[in-house]
Amino acid sequence: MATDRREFMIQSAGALAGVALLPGLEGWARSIEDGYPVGIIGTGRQGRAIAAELQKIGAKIVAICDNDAPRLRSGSRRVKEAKTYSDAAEMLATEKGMEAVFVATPTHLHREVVEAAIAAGKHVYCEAPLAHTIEDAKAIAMAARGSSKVFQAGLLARSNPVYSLARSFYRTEAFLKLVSMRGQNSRKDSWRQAASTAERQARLDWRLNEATSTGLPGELGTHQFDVFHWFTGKYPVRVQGRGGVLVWEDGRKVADTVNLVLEMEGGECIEYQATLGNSYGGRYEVLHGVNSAFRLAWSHGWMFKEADAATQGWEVYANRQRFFNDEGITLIADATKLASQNKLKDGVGLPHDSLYYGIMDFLTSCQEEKFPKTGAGEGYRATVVGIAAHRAVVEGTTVEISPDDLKEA
Amino acid sequence: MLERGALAAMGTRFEIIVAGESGSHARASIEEALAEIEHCHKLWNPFSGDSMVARLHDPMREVVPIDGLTLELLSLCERLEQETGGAFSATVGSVLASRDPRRECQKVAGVPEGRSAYEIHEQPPCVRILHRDVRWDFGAIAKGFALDLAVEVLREAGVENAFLHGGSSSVIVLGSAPGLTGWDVQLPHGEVVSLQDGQSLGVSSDAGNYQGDHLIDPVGGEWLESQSMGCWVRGRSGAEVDAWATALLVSRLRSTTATIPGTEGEDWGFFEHPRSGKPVHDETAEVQVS
Repeated sequence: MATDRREFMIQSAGALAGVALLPGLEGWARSIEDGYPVGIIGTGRQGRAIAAELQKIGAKIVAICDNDAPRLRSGSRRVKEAKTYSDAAEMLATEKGMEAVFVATPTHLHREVVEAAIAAGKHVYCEAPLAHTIEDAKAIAMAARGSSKVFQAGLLARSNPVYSLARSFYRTEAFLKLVSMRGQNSRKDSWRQAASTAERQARLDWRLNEATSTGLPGELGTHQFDVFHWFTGKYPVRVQGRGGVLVWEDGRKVADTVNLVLEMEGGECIEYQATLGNSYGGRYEVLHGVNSAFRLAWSHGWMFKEADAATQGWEVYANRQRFFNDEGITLIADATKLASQNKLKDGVGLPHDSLYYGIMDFLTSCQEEKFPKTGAGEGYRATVVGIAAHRAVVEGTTVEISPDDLKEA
Repeated sequence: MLERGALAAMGTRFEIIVAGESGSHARASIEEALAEIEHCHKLWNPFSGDSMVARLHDPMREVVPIDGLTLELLSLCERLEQETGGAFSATVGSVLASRDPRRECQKVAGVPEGRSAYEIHEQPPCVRILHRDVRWDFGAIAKGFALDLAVEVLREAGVENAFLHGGSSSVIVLGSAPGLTGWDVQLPHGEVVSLQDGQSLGVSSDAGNYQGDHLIDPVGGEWLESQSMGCWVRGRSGAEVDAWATALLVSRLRSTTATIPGTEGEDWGFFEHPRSGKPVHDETAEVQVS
């Protein structure tokens, strides 16, 4: 890998989470303003969000690609310095100096693009879920395994400093033993796209197409299930699902509201609910332990202690927030140092979007030629669980997930 | 049939009303347009450490890479500052901070430096900071700019009739209201301004907010004493009419003149703002859709 092109002054990926809220990270970002050359394939909302974070970090977006002309125009307006392409193969063939590619196409189009990018010798960041079928997800994982370049799945929890901090408590007396898990993703959003022609409308509405969609469990749940996989080190063995079109009665068949129970081998369960009909509570995960519970909401995290749990030494520094009858200790990375500077409250909530930290991890891995925190294996297994959960909703039944299903090879 | 969607952003409420479309298409169009406004909010939110404005204010950066939309907005601000003779300026953040505790981090001792405080470079897009105390606040022009982007999204989606407003003081319309030939907007003093397809309306008022006087003279960096005046401007760009409404009112209050360059369809008017016995919020031009 040609690393002599840039002299990145970067922390190790392992240390990144620990310092993520310190001014040092901003210094890190500034040090790469000479621009690591990357491209983005897919300039819909997610592709544009990736572009915005890359611009904050200071990477150089040399090319963008989308086969939908309005979306490409919209992307180009935001990234004026990038060359534009309507064909991914042409972009990969032309942009020899482009080191890494972000794949943000519709899920069912990931496979072809990822395989082409890997074949072209690029590092690849692929949005999650990896694919809409097990077969495609497996093909992506195998292609990634066969590449000497970095492949990162766009599951963001493992790069999130607040989640890393919570996980550091997970196996300690502060949490003690897992009791149960719960997640929700509530939003008010039709999931329908706006287009002036029926042909374009059909193309953009891939999430509402039964043939191409992994539904709410796949498109949203995959990201959150991986939080539980990461904390517990386990994957579900079966998933029960229910769901329906309860809000957006516009002819769609893909459920706009779902309820799931994902069961782990030891009997621990994840209760999961997602809806497009109401935004109350937003997106979060809860892990209940014998001594405390974690509530993780991507930009923020809290620990709720049981009254009979021992007081930890670090609690003297803790910042607290009231939630009705409960008091949550805000999870702040590097809280001790911030407390010593009397800046503890400045650390409440991440300064950047979760996506920022995922992209930073990816660029770090590319530069240091090291495995990313969220590789093809993690991406594949989370995708399998998401697809199984979607199937459970569609069939209204229980779907078994065998250990063999989770093996990408 | 009217379909409505709303979003809290830029310290105010944006609302989009689409007329005459199927419910699902109208809803999808509104969501896409609101997402564009939300993106602008994230870019130019002066209270977020993650925004482009925060990076422009970062004392460690002399050259700040910027995204394409911020480049467009800064370039527009620069042009409008020139055209208004300085009556409009986006670099009044330090004066705003002098009275707003939420802007503590933007406080600096100096007066606004205007266009001499920075340079805009187009390729690659970046800003070179020449005066470290320069503080941007895009205020109303950002609202208008966001609405301009949102209306483009609606057009792209094939929406023909729509009414968009931000905080009821920035308005853009497409087509017409059901059964009418345009959209009528009633201002707080009762005057009705009619808007035709693609037209924008910006309203500015000097009515004080909770901190006292509302408008700043960008040239001297002084707060302008309220005279219960308002100004409306009708034109073709949400961003431009918002900037011009502020500039014309500032010029009037400081007894100078500013003239809008002769763009077709642009006109404006001043009005006396109805007095009330209590302080009012800065968005005082209540819009009634008829």
